[in-house]
Amino acid sequence: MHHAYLDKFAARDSPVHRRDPRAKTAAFFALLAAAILVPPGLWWPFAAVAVIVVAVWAASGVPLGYLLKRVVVLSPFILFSLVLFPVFYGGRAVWTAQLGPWQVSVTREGLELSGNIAAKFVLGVLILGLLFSVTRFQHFLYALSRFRVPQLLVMQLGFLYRYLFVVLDEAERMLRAREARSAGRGGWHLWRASAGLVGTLFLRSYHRSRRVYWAMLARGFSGEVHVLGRLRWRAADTAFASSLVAVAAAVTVCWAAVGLR
Amino acid sequence: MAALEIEDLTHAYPDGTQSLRGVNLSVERGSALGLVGPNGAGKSSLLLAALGFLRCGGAVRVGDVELTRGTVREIRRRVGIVFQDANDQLFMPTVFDDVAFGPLCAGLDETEVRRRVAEALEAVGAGHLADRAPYHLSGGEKRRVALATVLAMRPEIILFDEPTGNLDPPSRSRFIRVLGDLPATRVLATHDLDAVAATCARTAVLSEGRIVAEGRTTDVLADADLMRRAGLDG
Repeated sequence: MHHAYLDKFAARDSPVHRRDPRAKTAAFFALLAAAILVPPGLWWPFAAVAVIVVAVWAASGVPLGYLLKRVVVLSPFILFSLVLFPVFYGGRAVWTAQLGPWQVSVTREGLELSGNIAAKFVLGVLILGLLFSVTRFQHFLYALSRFRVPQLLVMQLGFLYRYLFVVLDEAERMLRAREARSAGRGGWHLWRASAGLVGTLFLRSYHRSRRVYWAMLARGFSGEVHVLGRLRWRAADTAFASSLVAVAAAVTVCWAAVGLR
Repeated sequence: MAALEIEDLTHAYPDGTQSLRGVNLSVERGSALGLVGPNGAGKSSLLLAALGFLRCGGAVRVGDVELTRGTVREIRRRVGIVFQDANDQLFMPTVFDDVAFGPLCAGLDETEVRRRVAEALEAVGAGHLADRAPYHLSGGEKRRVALATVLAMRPEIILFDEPTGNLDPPSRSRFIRVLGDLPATRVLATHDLDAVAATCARTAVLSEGRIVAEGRTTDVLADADLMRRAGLDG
């Protein structure tokens, strides 16, 4: 089965693709931080970060549709907060309505908070989506390990990425088998089978993890992860990373300084 | 001295089921031994036991080294295993990383690691796959890369668990050819009798945890009675 993999466009070429993964990781995470730190009520920092993201995207050649689609696909995760916050977050009401016995009001603070979350969500998905469209996942992991992220965590991410699709394939096969044996009936029986399916999937993954561990031991694994250094840092990488990190920092310092005054 | 010697090996699962009931086996250096038997006979258990992954009674000797808790690392340096499911063995982001894993764990320096990786991939005809992600390889390619991950460690003995399982005919023939050309001592645990006939000079038959026959492959496979009793006919 061929699932869409995270770094689908990472093998392409562009001035951004060619940068060292450490530079890209540092730059993109700096932008991400700049977006996430923005307090509710402020909008210009989002615009600033968005402008930079668009500029990097333009240089990368990654299809816009792909990045936007990811935002759409993941949006259900924040739909709840987008709907609930304007209504339930206290503050000055800007609109009130009568819904049967309840009085529902939408507050200004609620709207600000909701918009804040939405902006962070969209920018976050775009930034990470772009990062993984210009950086191969194993290079990203290599950058993490060079940034002194604990090896255990890096390995976990690597295994997750490696075996996620294997597990998805198994789940797909089991679902198809269930479909084939359910004779078109749905409802209660399917739900009962789902519980069994999840349990079986877990057991299979557990046994697989044991075999993978044995395979690692059989090849001499003794707890340490070794990585071959294969990448070279160039002047362009310094320029790329430092400029983006500097802008991200500047944006944050600007609104923080204004707020403190 | 035999390359691999197994003496009175016994093993039981945690629930009490006996999987090995006193196995005696001896494999000559440089030779290929077929280990045939129906599913459930204990073939996989025997291979895992030889590498110290199962708690067993009896003895396992590789050359002059006996398998104990203290010598298990040395045994695993000398003996490699290609698992039934290649996915279990290809756990790194790229083929190159997987094949380099063994040499890196052994502490070899970068130049040597690269040389071993190139050699191993060349030996299995997978040199062009070095930068690919294991997930996107075909069954046959995965199997060959899994073998390369073991070859890179230059083991004296290589154990194979169902090496031709799930392979299409061209991949199967190709893998059998690669198998036959290896200089290492080989043990093939399989119920693919044709693969055994093509690569192994000697064959042992495992049934219900015991070796019930051992001899030249041609003799063993030709014994219809034996094949039927061992559950290998049909």
